[in-house]
Amino acid sequence: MLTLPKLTLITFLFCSFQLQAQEQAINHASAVSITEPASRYINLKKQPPREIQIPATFSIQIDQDFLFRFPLTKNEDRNYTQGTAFIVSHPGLRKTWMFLPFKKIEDLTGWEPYGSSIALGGTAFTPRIIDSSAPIVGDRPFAFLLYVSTSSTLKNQKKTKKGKLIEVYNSFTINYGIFGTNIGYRFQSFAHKNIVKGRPTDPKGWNNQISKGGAPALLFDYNRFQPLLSAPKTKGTIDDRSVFDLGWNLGASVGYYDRAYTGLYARLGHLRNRNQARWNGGFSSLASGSYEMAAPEKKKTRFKDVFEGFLYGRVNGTLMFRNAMLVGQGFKHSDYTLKPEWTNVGLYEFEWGFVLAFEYFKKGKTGPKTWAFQGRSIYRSPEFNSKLFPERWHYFGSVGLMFPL
Amino acid sequence: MRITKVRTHRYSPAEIEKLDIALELFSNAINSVEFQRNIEQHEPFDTVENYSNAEIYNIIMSGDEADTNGGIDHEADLHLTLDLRTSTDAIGYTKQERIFTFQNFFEQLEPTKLAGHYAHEYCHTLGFADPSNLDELERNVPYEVGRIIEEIAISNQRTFIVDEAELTDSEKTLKRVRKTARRSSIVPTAAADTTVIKTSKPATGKRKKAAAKKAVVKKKTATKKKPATKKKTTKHKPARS
Repeated sequence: MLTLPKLTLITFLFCSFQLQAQEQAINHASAVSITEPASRYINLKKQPPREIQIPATFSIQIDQDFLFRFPLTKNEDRNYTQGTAFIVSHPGLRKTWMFLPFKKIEDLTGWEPYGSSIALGGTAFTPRIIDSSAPIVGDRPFAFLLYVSTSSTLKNQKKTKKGKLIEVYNSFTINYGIFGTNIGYRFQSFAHKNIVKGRPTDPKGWNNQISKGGAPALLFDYNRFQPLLSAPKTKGTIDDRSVFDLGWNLGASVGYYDRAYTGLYARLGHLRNRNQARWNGGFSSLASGSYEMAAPEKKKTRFKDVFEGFLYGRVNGTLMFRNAMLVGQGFKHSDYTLKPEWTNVGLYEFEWGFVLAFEYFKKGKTGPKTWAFQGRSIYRSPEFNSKLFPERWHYFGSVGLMFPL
Repeated sequence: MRITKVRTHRYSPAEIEKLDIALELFSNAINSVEFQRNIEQHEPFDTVENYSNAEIYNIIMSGDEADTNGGIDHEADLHLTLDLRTSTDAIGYTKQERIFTFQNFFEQLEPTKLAGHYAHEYCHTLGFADPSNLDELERNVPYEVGRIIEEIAISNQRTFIVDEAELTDSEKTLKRVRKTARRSSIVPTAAADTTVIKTSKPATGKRKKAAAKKAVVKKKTATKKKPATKKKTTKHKPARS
């Protein structure tokens, strides 16, 4: 049976081979390029100049229902119970083979590269009762996803007939993952023994997890973000500052999530306008993958005005047509899944949080380095209704720390 | 050095005409003996690797951009994008291999100044950075290369004079040839607003090198008696990234 994940996998592999073949053909055809070391040609014993500082970052993000604090009574160990991702953002990533599909899009559209990142992450979903060997019928199944997420954001500008500048940030993400490993069981057991005590230390329910034994999972995601307004009204210059801004996004994905979504994103604080898309970047949960955008442009006044701090709020609406972590993967048997008719198509989320960021330049170098800390709370509407349990919202918190590389 | 690999984005056809002139001024200036002499006779540049002036000249002419895979091909890979935002001080900036120019400055500035801007940004694509202190521009590679290219472009711009009555016969011929070459070399690509320009005729590296060497030898002997060009001390506010 040709299921959607299979079809996406075949399409992706086909496109990748095509791209590689084209690349090889181009390389073969161009006889002009000489890729010998510099010293051989120009008698230069030193290294080529590399004075431009690359705005690369490394981030750790942790999603945990335990981190949810507002209100504390809603802190429950179930549903999306844990997510962790390690993310490297580096402009040079876009030239690597893993980013070939994004490079092709960049070449075709002419949009300018804004950020590229790669992440290694894992996310776990559980029902309320985790130490039962038998499936909890009517509650969500266990699911663990381990993935490598590649992401590239491309920026486009255009002017309307009235001369108004419109900037659009197009983010493309591909997640290469695997369901059904034993990591979920091991990690939850470890966490309940050592970190969050009081919960079952032998979560036997993982024996019924989605695609137990392992099955590949893919996700292709497109997200379009557009700044809408800022206050006080700015001139649209590179170094604009404001205290409030608003933007909206629209996206869709196929793979283990088949969905379309949209959202509004507002910030309040000491803002740098050009970073609006940067901090909006990323999904509400790590289950969709993760991306960061390295600080894209340098600022006017060096060594000064390095701080950016703000509160933000976001509201998302999602049409979830199929969630493999609830209904399973079509091509791989799972002992227990929710019936498709039990899942809710219309979902919405509220999110609020804060970001504290510092951008600075090393002496004698250009290109900013960034330190940042982010905290947030997410409120998600019920994803399913089996009528065997009352519908329930899900709440989780998240923290992220960003270091310069 | 050839400037044949030029990709543009968001430039309108009218803007490409202006850009084309600026790039031709840049191409002529960077391949001139004056440029080589100005770089080699300059006070030592302030670089992290402590390059000699001859090494800096070689790096500039190598075409070995940090973010393209071409290696040393003696060809400037210019990926030029118009930034539609308004800038109050910077003419443009470089992000990886892309050179951005703010539209308001592109419209205001003369092609000679733009030639200096592209030279400045091209130095960034080679890996040279701006100084951390903007009061120390005299020994900074991108700023000085931009200034020198602009000065040479100003002295070379005579053939770009619109009124042909002011030109000599050979200058008129040169202008006609250049105009024809420019018109025939603008090739639109798949993207609607992306254009590829070829500003000079393609030539093999060896041939070009030999020709350049010949020209250098000839001009060196001819210019020996001339006094060295007086270095301008006036500071302009050139492009920075």
